Amino acid sequence: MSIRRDGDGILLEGVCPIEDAEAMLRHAQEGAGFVDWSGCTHLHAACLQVLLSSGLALRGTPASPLLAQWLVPMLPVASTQLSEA
Amino acid sequence: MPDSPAQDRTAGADAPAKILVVDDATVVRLYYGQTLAAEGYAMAEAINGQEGIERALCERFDLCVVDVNMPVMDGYAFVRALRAEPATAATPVLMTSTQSGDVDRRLAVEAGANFYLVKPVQPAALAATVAAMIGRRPAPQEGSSA
Amino acid sequence: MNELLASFVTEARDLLAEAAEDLLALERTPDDEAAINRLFRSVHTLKGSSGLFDVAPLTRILHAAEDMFQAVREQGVALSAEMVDVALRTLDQTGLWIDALERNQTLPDTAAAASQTLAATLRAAFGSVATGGAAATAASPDTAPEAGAAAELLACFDATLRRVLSRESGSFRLITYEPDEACFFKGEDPLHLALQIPGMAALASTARSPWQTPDALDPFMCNLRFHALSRAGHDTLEALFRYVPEQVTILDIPAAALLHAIPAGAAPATPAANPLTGELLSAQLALLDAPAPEAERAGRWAAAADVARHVLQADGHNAAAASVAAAHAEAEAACLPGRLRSAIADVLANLAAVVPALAAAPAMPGRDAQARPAAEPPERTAPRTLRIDQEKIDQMMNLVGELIVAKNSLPFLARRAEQQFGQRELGREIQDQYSVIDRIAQELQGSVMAVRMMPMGQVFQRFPRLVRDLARKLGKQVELVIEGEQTEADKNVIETLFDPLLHMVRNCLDHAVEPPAERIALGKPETAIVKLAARQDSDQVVIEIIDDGRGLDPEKLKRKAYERGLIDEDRMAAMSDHEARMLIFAAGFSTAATISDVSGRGVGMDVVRNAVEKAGGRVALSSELGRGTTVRLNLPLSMAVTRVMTVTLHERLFGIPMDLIRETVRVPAADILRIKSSEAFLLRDRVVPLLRLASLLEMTEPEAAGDDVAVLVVRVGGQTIGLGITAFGEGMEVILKPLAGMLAALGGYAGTALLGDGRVLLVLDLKELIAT
Repeated sequence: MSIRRDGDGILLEGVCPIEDAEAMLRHAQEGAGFVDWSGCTHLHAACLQVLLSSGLALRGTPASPLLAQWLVPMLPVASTQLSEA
Repeated sequence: MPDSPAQDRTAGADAPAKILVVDDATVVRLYYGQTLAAEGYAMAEAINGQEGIERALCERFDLCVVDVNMPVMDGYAFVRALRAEPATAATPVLMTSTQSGDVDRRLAVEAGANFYLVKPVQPAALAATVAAMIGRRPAPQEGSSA
Repeated sequence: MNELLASFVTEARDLLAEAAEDLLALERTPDDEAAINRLFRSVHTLKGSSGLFDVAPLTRILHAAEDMFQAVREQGVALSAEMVDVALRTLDQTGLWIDALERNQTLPDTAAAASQTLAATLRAAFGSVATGGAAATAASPDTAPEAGAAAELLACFDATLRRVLSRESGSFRLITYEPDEACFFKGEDPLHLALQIPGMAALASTARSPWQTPDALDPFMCNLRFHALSRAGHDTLEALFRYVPEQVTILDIPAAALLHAIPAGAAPATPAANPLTGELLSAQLALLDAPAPEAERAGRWAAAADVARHVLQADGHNAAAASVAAAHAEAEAACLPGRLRSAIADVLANLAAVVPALAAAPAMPGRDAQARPAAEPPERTAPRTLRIDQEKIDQMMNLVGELIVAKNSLPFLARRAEQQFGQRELGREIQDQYSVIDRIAQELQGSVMAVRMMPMGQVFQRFPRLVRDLARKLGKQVELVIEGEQTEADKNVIETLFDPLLHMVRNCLDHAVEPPAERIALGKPETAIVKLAARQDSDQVVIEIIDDGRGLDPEKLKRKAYERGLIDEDRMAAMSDHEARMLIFAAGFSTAATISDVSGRGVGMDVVRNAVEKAGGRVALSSELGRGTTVRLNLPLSMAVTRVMTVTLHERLFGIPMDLIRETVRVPAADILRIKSSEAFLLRDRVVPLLRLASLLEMTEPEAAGDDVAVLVVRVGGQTIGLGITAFGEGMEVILKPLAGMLAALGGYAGTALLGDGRVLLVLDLKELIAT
């Protein structure tokens, strides 16, 4: 499983396929506060959409250099902060 | 030699630098003219390379902004003629064209142009490039009047 | 309208006209190299200029057309009739959009869709014959249009991009990738694709429509748009997006332009040199490296050294600038550009190390000492021709008209001074002043009229296209010959001419010109020749439409006219051939057995004649059966000012157009011949019918029982007629205004004119009066 709920957060690991988008969205609706994507090697565009639209804070730096280089600047929330609003 | 008269026409002299725009499109001449006149340059225009050379021979310009595709005499021929004429040989040339390929860049340089911009040139880019080529500091630092 | 756009509109129209002309020339003579070069340049220039405005749809079709002409020019693609058709359509569409731009400063809403279709049609038209025509329209380097909008797009990139860019030179491709909404269902992962972009310098994403709240978000509907900057070439990028070309646009942007377009944001962390500096210095190296003919070398070195020095100075690296200048001097002395080259290369390599603080010192010493010679005042090249809005000229013409009318009040004033106040001296002085003002006003009028003169070519140039399309439609072969297009006439005359000419040319192609087979059978050349010729003849312009077609058959025409009840049997028998031919100008006459959609719905040549006569012109015709027909139009060179003669009729004043008047005579009452209810008189042994203006106007005042009658001899509708009036007035120039409102329905009046004393002069339309 590439996505799982871990307490307050959502853990992404390995390749996150399109199905993970729905799960992530559900977790977000159920009160998850942040996403830890340090173990993530790829993310489907649908998952990116959820990250962009949900305002979920991000923790860690993705394992894949491609993601780290291009997606980190794209996502608005600093990786260690929790969004309060 | 480093103190050739050309040197005087560099940074921040009080008289406005003179720029010759050579382009067959009226709208482009107007556009460049407005952009550069707003920067305080003295502008002159020519509608093709032939007319450009004639202008450049009777008047000294600090820079020529030249189109590539023109009737009568195109931009390449203009730069070659300019470079071959002792009176105008050292005049910097900025070439502009809608062609964006590397080949076009190379052709411009091979003809003797100093720089190449792809049309449409944004006003800010044009102003910045011209200022640099003429040796003028960016506007804020420049004493507006001596 | 902003000046730039206005200038674009004017220029675009010129270029379009030239392009259309060259296109037709090229179709006739496919190997006309000059024509294809001009054509390419016109479209190229137009496309380039259009890029300055927010008119992407316009630029797109011009781009496609440019590609087509380039294929013709450089790849030897043959220009087919279909290609010409669609190219003409493109020019037409461009013309329409230019009109829209002029009116609304923006393109119609439908433009984007129309542009897509047309661009695709264009590309298909030559793509089907060319080899490399498969280039996807959306992914083609449509640089010009969107580059203006690029600044907006670039705003989405992180400001740190500046730092990346400051180390770059050359150009970038700005990629906008908008995946299909439903792409997830097709198993696509747009992010995966975006991350594959080679040579990527930046990646950003935006939402196509604002993000929904998590509750409302449909995660499987793609709402993403990606923007990327890449150093890779078009081909590589197009290859990557080959399955989704319609979702991608790729633009070229030079790094320098990018830097200026990207929001400045925070200052770069490191005091890096202005990226433009590096870029310009690299360009100077390239210039030094480029092979050059002997004669141009010194100039190139000097120019390169100059630019390098300037660039460094502008960026505050004065020491480096000085070293470049020194290296140039050495290089020049030793005739070795290598010195200069390595100096610039060194500077470039060390740029990052140059601490700008060092260079912040005052400018180079000695600069002030060598003050440049007093500069000439900035000079602007005077344009050789001035483009003037037609409205302004019309306005000038109106003012001149008013001046002439106002001036005409002075003789009245002079007369009043003399007669009413007994001031003969004053009256004479006013008269003298009047002469001066009159002369100036006339010269002024002449000058304005000269400005209004336009070459006939303005009208003629529309015909090659028209004839081509018509001939194609009718399956006939026609060569249009145009002569005297430089003949000038007043703009109003020129404008009046188009419709009648159009009608006649249509008629000519439809009826006069035989189909090729018939022509061959008749022993004529397969291709018919239709000639439009113009020339000036004293104060008239003469236009001829000459064809070598069927010619008019007088017998057939007479029969038609008889069948249509236009003439009776007697008239038919008595009619000369010439009179019979003139029947085509009769109202309600149409020679075509069936109404074709080419010549319009049975509108006869009478419309042509009316239009020409309304403009003060005449129509003449000659024709030979089987050999062809010539129609000749005579029109006044100018029609802005009408010369009229005032006549008095029972103390009322009327104007009669001077060009109708042949002479004025006084006929003794005893010499008037009465034939039944008609009157006539002898004028140099010719019987001339005499009509009383009073009865024509249905005025009931009694006839003056004078000794003789003032008679105006006029020529109307080919007939000489005497017009009985009370007294002759004076000749004057007036600006004729057509009757408006209820008066317009009144027949018999050509219009009104304001007199100097404020009175309104009714100018008569004699032709109409006499006919009724």
